[in-house]
Amino acid sequence: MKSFVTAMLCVLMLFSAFSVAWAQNPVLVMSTTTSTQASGLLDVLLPELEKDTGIKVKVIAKGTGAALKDGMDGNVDVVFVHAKEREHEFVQQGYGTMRFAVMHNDFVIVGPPADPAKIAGSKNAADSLKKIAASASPFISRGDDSGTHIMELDLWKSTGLPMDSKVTSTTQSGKQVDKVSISPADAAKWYFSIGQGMGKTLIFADEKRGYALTDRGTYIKYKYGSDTPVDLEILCEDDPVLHNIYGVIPVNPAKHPHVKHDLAMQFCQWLVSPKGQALINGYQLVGKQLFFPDAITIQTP
Amino acid sequence: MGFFWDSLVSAINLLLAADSELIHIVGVSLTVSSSSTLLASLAGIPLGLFLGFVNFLGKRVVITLFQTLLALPTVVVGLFVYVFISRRGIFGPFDLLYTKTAIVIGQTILIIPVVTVLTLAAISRMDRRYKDTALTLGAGPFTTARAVAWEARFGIMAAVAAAFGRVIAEVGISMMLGGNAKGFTRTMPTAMALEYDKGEFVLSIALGIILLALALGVNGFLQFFQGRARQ
Amino acid sequence: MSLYKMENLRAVLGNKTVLDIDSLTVEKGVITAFMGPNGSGKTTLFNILAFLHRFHSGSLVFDGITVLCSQAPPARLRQRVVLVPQEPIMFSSSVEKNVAFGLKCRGVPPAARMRLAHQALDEVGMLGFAKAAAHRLSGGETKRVALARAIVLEPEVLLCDEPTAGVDSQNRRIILELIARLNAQRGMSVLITSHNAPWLTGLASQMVHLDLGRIVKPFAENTFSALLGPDGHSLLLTPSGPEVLLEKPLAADGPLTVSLDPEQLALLPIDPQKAGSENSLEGTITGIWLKADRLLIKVNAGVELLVSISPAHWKTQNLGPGDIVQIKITASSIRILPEQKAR
Repeated sequence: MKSFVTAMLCVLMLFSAFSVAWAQNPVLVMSTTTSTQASGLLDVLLPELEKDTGIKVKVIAKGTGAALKDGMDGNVDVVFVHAKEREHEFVQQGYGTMRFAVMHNDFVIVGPPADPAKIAGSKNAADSLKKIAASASPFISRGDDSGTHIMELDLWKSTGLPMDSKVTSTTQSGKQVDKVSISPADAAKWYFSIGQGMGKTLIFADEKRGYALTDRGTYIKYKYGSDTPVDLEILCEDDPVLHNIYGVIPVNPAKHPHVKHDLAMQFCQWLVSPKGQALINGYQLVGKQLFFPDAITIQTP
Repeated sequence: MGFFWDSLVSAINLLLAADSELIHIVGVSLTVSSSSTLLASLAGIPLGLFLGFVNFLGKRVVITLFQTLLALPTVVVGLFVYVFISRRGIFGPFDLLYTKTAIVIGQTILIIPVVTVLTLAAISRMDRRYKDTALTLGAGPFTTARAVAWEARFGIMAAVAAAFGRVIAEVGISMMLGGNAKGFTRTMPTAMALEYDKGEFVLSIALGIILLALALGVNGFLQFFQGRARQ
Repeated sequence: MSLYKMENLRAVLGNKTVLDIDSLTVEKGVITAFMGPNGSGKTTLFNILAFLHRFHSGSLVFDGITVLCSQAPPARLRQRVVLVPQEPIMFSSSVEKNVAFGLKCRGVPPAARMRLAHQALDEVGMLGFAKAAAHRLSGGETKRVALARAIVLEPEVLLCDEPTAGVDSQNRRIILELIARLNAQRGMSVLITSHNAPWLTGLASQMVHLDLGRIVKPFAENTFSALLGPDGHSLLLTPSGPEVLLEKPLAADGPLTVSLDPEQLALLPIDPQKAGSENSLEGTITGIWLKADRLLIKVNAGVELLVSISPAHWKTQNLGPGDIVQIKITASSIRILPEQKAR
């Protein structure tokens, strides 16, 4: 019994020693979209960052909506997302101090090789979606308020097809908050909104022999980097509206005094530095470049 | 605290508005969970009775196995079924993945051990005299088992209720095999997980409150039924 | 014609032998009584004789059929024997459905089995309860319904374990009369147990005394554990019984088992002048039975004692239940039984 207690104490001391050692390295908590992590980009960037600055980053990967929400609630020190409009809103409302444009990647519409909607080779995303709707082919939507989902909805709106909008009211701090969600009208039979990450969406599309809007990186990973590759082809690409811009924003210490704003700033500046930008430019997955550096100038709101 | 209050008010508002999406989600949850509970009961109750009445070599091993399966993580069941019903699996041609049927299959596998073990426990708890009485009055093994099972019916009902409770609140299988497709396979727990992922905590907790109310209703109904039967 | 024949029958519970019968034959068509204190193995024996539980060694022959200890008892034998346990349990349905259960097992059509069930309930005076919930009956009512549930099957053998324990006097009379009638009118073999019931002596034609799983000699009804006083001059009946002063000291020591022969005990009216005299106990008459040509008098003298006297002698005494009497314990009435082997 006595020896057991001693052993337990030793283990506890070991743990506490560990956490002290841990605390000595600055740890930055970052909320980001699943695509930056799933693509493997962070695995290249973060070790280099630690080498240059000594900053360790704890990554919380979520949809853009949830990532921004984490920033608003002060759960994280910095957000790294891709939804330009909402990022500007985030800074304007005082949740973030400034937005750095870091890079962009591009989106593609993928679908089954049989291509029932006949969109192969298209360079017009809106037109492709129209054809998918007309043929009532399965279309899998992220449906999770992520940057990809938001871009998809913008594309649907630009097709001019009728859209359903649905209002969900919740109460926050005693006030009624209405949340409007939209989706293509009369699509109950073929429009699957699954509320899951990009990878799951591709697997779902593969299973249902359907179409999906995806970032190129995740698609390449599931097509060429997997033991059971998805049987989907890129059918629509190179439309300028399919560019997806990533921004990084330190959380405002005026809202949440406990955030490590200095570290966050240091991290952002490193990302847009020639070193960071070169790493982004050079990152390839299965021989294909995924992200294109954007930080020619530093944008301020 | 204000957070919880907001959620409660939102939950009531959602219910009062008879939100069509919410009603659909509740409907999917109920049909899927009750189907899997029914199927698992059809398999698990006879299995539990068999283990309770029939002696055979290796019975302890089988019971231990079932008890271990009680701790089966939902993702393991999900993955297992996924391998079979995905388009590349042997049941691929049936196009089962991401349907309600898929969730029912997974959940049924998940809770068969629950129904079996709890039915066995209910039988083992029964006064030995029920069995002896049936036997001495000339009942064969089948009639004896039926008589004892009848006396253990409240315990068996509790087993079914526990199994229902496990599946109505289950995320892993519903997410992996159902795919959380809105209007198709979105259940209350997967809807909650999604709202959490989207950062819509108020809506998520509101759904949680509705789920609890639903579970309370089902259990209250069972309790009422048991109370009446005992009189 | 023998019904049951047992040789070296042994039953073991855990590592304890709970039943160890060297040799016993139970006759067909009669009432056989098994007596002995709680824990003497009666219930174990009945469960074996009802083919519900297995025994561990020895041989059991039922009506010419050998029952093996190595196998579960054959189900077809169970159809010929019905056990009514000491504490019967009712299925949670109506009384009539409980009674009809065995008939249903035998494939009797619904209308006929309801008619038979009602007949049997009538026999035990429970017809008025036919539709009542069986599991909510009182103890005495439950015993009567359990008896009806057994006799409706008209078994060849009826095993009744403690049919009168915990039953009020009215219910006891109904049950005993029914058992006697079943035996007399239908020739049913009845085996019955009791831990303390001198009334069985008037009912049964064969008495078997059990203690600690073994058959012991008769007079077991007057058998007590006892402690001998310092120099053998007094005998203390245990556990909390009275002390008997002895004229002649007994040559023995340590804890004993003694048996007082009912035939050798004398019953005297109380003599106020000679209170507390040697070799005598005072007590109250609590029961009187006629057995063959002798009267059995039960006296509560701190312990329950049976005294057997002739009816003629009884008349001269002018005594009745409730009277205080003196029991003369003659030296010849005391038998010291061989010490039970420790098991």
